Amino acid sequence: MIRAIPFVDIANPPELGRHARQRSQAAPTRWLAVALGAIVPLSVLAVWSLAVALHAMRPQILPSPLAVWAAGVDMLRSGDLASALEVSLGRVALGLALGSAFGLVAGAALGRSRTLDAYFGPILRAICQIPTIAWLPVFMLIFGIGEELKIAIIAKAAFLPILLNTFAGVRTASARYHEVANVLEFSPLQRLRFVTIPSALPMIVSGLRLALSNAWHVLIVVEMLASASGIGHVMAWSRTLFQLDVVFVTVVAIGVTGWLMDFAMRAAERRFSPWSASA
Amino acid sequence: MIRPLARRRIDVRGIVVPLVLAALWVVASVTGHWDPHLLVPPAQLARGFIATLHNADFWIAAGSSLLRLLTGWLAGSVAGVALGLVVGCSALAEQIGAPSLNAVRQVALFAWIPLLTAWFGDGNTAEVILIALAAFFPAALNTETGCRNAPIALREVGRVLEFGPREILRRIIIPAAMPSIASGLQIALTSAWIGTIGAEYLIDQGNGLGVFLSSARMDNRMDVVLFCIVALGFIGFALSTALRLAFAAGTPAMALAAVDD
Repeated sequence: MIRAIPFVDIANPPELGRHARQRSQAAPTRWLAVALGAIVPLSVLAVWSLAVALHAMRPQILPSPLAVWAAGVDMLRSGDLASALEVSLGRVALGLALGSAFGLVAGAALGRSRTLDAYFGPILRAICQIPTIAWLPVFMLIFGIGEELKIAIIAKAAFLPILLNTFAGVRTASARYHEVANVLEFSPLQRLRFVTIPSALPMIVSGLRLALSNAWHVLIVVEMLASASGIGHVMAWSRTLFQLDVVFVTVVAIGVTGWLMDFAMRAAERRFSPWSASA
Repeated sequence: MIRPLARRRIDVRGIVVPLVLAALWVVASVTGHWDPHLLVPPAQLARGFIATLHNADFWIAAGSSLLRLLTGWLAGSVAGVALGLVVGCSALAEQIGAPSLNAVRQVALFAWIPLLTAWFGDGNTAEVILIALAAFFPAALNTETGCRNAPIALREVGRVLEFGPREILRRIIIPAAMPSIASGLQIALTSAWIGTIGAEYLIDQGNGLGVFLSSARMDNRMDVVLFCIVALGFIGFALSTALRLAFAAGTPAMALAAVDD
């Protein structure tokens, strides 16, 4: 029986060792990681180039990698890409500001007052069951297809995550902090400043991150459906003209922009995480 | 014993706001202060709901949406769980696959529609692929997380018992990852349902609730649009409840079966 038990290094089990190695990567390991990570993109590029070289698909449907690259450089130089993104990001900023303002106020109010929650909570949670994209036709009937539609649908997409996270952040603020605030006889404003906001901030920032991601996704849909400007419009229009090289560029631009926004929000999340906020 | 029962009792305060809104709606439509196209009068809304319920087109649309959803969800989930298992169990596969996976995930789902329709036409194929894509990422991510978080102690038990890699996967990692996989499949279903409606609505071809919704909007029929939205919410809720109940019934049995045999 004893012979059947293989040696297990309790102090340094293989899994832990693997993760520890990953955390303190030496330069050669890091290069290895880059090389390994590049395998899939490079293979895709190779298959793509091969398919173009062999005329496997019509060039209108599958433009060559070089054509896509050229279209990308062209759109960057001419400023077409920048101006489309500027329009889209402006809409996101406005809609997000509107939606988070309402979400913050409503979430804080429902979080602080159980009475308000009892009255308004159920209907808000019922509305949550229906995805934002399903509201799009209703919003189109109400707002038409102008600028108001985009701002309203982004605000709607941003409102619920902010509301729910603010609610949770305010509701879970430890009762002990509120007892301290009682002892110190804080005014409501002081309580907001020193108790509620610091303890709810991490949740609110997480909500903002989710809201931004939702807003970006739904904006692309609205711009594809009903818009004469913005990155989603450029994409849908180029598709209609069968300029798939431009479509590829816009897909990458949408991905990179989404990633950059999420990267910034993740940095904000770390900045406002509980242990740094208390410092 | 008393407290959970008391907590489960419905709080009547929750229906006050909907009732007030409904009363305002009735008053507004009776006095005619609102555009009846936007704020549909209650009687017309009821007629619209009943008419849509009796409309065979609606049921055909709902049926084909459901079929599309299930096809895409199954395909995307199977691919996602398979890839999640590979990436979650092998460090090498993780280093090869994770960067590309994370890069592709950054693209907003519906931004794939122009490329998909160019390649596969404005029809069912492009829609099912988009739905599969919507299901794929949550399934893959949750499976990967579940595998990674399989307790090290359990894996050591596997090594002590001299399990082969396949047995470790089947008897230890998969049962340990099962709750995470199950919740990944749930998220995948919700995401796939959103993908179904969005794809149908954007591509606007053939049958489907999204197409039905889109034509109701074109006809300026707010009553039908509202009915569709309620139906969408209801179907989504029913599907995810059904899946949750199925998993609640199935998960312990699956885990036990893997350990017992």
